[in-house]
Amino acid sequence: MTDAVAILVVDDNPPMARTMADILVAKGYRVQAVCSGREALDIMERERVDILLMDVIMPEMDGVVLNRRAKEIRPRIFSVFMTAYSADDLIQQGIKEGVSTVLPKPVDIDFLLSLISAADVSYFHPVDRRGHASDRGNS
Amino acid sequence: MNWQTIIYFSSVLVTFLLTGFLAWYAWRQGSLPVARPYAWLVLAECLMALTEILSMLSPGEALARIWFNTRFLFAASMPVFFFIFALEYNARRRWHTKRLLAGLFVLPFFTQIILWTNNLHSLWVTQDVGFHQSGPFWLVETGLRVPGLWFLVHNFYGELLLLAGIVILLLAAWGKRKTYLGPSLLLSAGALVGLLAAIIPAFNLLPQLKFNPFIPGIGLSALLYGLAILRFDFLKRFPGMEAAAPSTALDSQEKRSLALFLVVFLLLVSGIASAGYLSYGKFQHDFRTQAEAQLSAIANLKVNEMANWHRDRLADGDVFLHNPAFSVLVTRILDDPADEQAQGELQAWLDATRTAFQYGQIYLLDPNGGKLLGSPAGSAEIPGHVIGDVPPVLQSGQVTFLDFHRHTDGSIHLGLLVPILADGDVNLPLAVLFMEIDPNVYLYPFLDNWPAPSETAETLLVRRDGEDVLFLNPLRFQPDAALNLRFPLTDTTLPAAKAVLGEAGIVEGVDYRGVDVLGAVEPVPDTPWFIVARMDAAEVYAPLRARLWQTLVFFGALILATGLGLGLAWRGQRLRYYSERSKVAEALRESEEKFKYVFEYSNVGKSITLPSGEIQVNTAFCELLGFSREELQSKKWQEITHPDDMESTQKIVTALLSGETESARFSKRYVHKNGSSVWTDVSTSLRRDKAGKPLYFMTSIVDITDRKQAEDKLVASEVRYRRLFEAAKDGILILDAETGVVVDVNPFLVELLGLPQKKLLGKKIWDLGFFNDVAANQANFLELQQEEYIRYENLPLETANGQRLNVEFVSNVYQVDHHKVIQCNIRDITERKKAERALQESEVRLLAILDSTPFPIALVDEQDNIISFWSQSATALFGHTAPTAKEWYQIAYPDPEYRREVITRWKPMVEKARSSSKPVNAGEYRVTCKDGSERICELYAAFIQDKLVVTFNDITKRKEAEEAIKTYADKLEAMVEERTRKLEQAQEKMVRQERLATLGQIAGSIGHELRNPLGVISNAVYYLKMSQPEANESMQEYLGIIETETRNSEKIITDLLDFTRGKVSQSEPVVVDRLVERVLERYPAPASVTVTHKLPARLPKILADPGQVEQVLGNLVVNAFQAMPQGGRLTISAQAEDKMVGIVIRDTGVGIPAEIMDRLFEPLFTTKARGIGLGLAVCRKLVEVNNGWIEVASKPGKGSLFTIHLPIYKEQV
Repeated sequence: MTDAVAILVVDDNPPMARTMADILVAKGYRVQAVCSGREALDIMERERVDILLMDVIMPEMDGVVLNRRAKEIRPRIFSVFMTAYSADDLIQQGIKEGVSTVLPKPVDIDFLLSLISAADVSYFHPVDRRGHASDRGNS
Repeated sequence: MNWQTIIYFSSVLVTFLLTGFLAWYAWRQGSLPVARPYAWLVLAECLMALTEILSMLSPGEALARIWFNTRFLFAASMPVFFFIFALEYNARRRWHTKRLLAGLFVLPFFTQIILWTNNLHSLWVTQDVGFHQSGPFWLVETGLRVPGLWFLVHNFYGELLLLAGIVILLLAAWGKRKTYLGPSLLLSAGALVGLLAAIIPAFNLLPQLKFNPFIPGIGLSALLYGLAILRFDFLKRFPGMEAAAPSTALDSQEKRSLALFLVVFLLLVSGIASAGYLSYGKFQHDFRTQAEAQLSAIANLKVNEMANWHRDRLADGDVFLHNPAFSVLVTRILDDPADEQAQGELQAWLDATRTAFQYGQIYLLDPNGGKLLGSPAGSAEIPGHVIGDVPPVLQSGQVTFLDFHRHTDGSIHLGLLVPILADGDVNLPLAVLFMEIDPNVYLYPFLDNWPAPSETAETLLVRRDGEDVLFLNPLRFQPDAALNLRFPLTDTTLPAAKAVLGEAGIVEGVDYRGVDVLGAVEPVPDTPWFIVARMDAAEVYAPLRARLWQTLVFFGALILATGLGLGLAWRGQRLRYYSERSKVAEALRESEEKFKYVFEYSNVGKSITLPSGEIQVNTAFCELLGFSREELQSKKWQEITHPDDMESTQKIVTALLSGETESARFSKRYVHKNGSSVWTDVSTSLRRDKAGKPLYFMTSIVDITDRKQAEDKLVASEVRYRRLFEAAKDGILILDAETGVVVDVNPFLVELLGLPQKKLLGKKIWDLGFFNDVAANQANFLELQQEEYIRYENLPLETANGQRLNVEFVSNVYQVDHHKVIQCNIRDITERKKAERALQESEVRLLAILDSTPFPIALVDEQDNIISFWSQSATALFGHTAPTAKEWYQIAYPDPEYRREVITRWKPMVEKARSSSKPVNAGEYRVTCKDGSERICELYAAFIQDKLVVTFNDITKRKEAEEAIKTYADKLEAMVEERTRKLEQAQEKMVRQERLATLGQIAGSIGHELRNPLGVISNAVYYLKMSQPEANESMQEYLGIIETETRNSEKIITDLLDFTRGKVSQSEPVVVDRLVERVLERYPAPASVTVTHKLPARLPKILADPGQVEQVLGNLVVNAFQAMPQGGRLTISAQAEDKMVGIVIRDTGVGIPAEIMDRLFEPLFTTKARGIGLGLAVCRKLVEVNNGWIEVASKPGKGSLFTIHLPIYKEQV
């Protein structure tokens, strides 16, 4: 389903990325999971990504930088931080630069799902309210 | 001419005659050695007396002076003659050589030159003697003489010679007192008198003497000599007459020393005398200056006084000369002699003047000399000469001074005549005032007064009176002298005459009494008078003379002491000299005795053989030939000489006698008493007398019979060895060790080399082509000379026919007949070499094999000592090797302890290998390489034949690997321990310093690390539950358990993170009671626990954050409940302390073990099965941020008691 919200999970811990992706796939989203910012950016270069779920502290490229680069590619991308830290300078920086939400690890999946669906409705498909479709990239 | 002069002249004359006689007498005794110099001596004296007579009788002073000076020719030579006489007299004839004579006369000769040329340089005298005539004689006045330098030299010289002569004379008497004491003393006394006679006038020691005592002194001296002749006949009997006894004769050495002593003595005496003279001269000069100054001062004083007095008197006259008042009064009495008033006034005036100025009388005379008035009134008549003087005085109109004059009554007066003129006009003369002065009133007492105490001093007032000098005052020694005593001006020695004749200042002379005086003369200005202040020279110079005698005595004593000292020193030296001589004689005697002893008791046969053949022998000689001494004494050498040696011996004797040789050594045979031959080694030399005539042969003989036999044996032995040499199957070459010349070569070598012996002998070894390597140059030869041994194992040698041989070459140096030779043994080893080479090659191959094995191998000798081979691999492995086992141990096992261990382990293994003949594993050894690294080697020892083969198996790598593994394991363990320890340390540190922030970071990172896996787990569970909705129950249940525990874990982490975040308190006044209630409400107690809470009713509020305090109390209460699982009592109480409130929570639970008490408040410390141990840490932290503290007390099994102290709230007023 090409219209499904495209989620990209980025976590340097592969099991985390995997389980997260599996859950979201099971929930019917188009999900890709990668283990580094580099890979994430590659994917975003190639295809549409609506929601970016990313760890903050990662080797090579941290969440803040990834978010910044992702915004360059897709300014309207919905980015979410997943972090083990509840307060951190990086997180503050990310929020300043447009990170939508910060989820503490372990991520409350139910909450995440509700968030995604909310975002899907209010963020990517505002047509219901505004009467016209939002740009969804090259769909 | 007076009696003194007559006596003097007579004495001179007598002297002349006496000395003349003595000279004649002595001359006649000319054959006697003493007589000639004595004659010269008295002749000189005689001639001196003659010149004195001639001088005295001269027609004029000049001639007298010339004769006087001529005297010195004899005066100067006289001491020289005396000295020579003394030498002769005392048998010192040998001393007076011509050279000495000439030397002694040098000074007198110069004296003559200087004397006659005194005008040019004044070296002789600066003021010459004076002469005065006394009757027909010219008498010399030596007192006037001021001596110059040379005069002193002349005097000292003469006096020294006289003194020296006296000493020598007395020395003569010293040895033989009895015989010669008298004449010596007399002669010495004569000389002493002469000496004194010379000194006294030279230095004017007796100024009272009117004449020169020199010649009379000489006369007296001559008289004493004459007495000596008469009494002792000294010309014939004197010490020198006796043969020069050895004891008194001085040898040249003594003479030299005596001469030295004399020179020293002369120098010292000259020095002392000069010092004395200079000392006295200075004193004299000073003294004289002082005396003269005194006299001058006194004369000056008197002159001034006299001049003043004279001027005052004239002034007295002047008072009347131009006095109109006086003239008027005089006019009045002249006009009217009855004018009593005028007369009275004049009388009073004159009286006043007379008494005021101490005039004797004052008269007023009319122009005719008639007395007008007088004071004292009515006195005696006017002296006649005064009357005569009146007219000229009136004419002159001046005050006229009347000099000393005598009245008819004999009294002496002076006076003033003052013309009294009317209106000061000489043409209107009125009268003359005559003022008479009595010198006894003032003048004479004044002159008589001498300001210092003196026996003879006085002041003379004199004036010229015609050609005379007139004495004006009464004199000390002639009271009636005034106007009576006069002397002619020609009497120039008189100081008064000198004064009148114009001299001024200090004068010497003879006064009116004929006594020598010293005076100061000076004219009195404006008067005809002269003052002479005089004093007897005797008085003036009395202290000087005393001083002179002192000086003479002192310096005389000094000279005497010097003479004595030097005499003693000389005597001492002589004694030493003789004692040495006697020692020498003693030594000579001893030497003779020694010789005798040596000759007699020598174990060498000795003989003294006369040229005629008679022999004198010692005991050893007798014993040698078996004869008794008596038997040999009568024999000639020819009788005991072996007939065969007779001829050769005779030849030697002849050669010695002819002087061809001085000594000889040879072997000859004597014939023993028993007829056998005795071989002897004979040394003989010929002694000759001074003329070269042979005296005797001195012969030593040594029995060499045994030696001869030994020599024979030696010859035999040499023959044997020669045969050995000839027959040897080794080449033998004998070289001269010094030169390297071939001395001998044996037939074998000749054959070997293929060269005739001739071509070898006499050549130098390095000139022979064969031994290029042996002695290619002389350096090698030098080495041989030094080392004395050289061995060449394998020397190529090319023979004459070109054949190449290998030879073994051994050289030894040894002594033959005190001469070093080198013996070279040359052995043909060509065949042996071949075999050896084969063996060697095989060995080389073997070694090459060994060398190429990768295992390091060493070949050691049987004793496990010398290492003959190290394989390349060994060198490569260790980097170093050693030639012996010992050295190897040193470098391979540098640690001494380890080395000992190695050796103790190794040696038994070697023995084991030796006994078992099998390779033995000797174990592992740590070998130190050259670069300092260590290799662990397994060593194998094996004996192959007689060699120990040591093989090293390098197992370092294996060991290292094992070691590395072990090390790694240890390291890991250590690291874990280290980590744990560090963590503990860090915790402790953090707790101690309450650095919970750091803990927060740790907790944060742990949280992060755990959250990720927890996240994954929860994701996975979520996924499973979601994807497996129809899973069975138990699966569902377990998934639930996982989910719950994951949440629990997450909760713990969250708590932890919460805790670590910083806490800030927000203080406010809090009522403790209410707070406690709220806590108990919130944490209800289990049923088994009874809670008691009673707080004081008036407990003050505390200032704290209520939420935080509540949290603390809650924690403590929950802890207390948990500590009482079996039930118990919880008591909460509180009390106010000083500024704090203490809240106590007590339980009756399990209590806290003592060992964990300290760590109770540490974060993460817990004893509970559940919980992460933050409770109490949080409590403490919260209490502390509220400015309080927490305490705990506990007894295990009884319960615990926590107290929190919090500050009391102080209400703001």
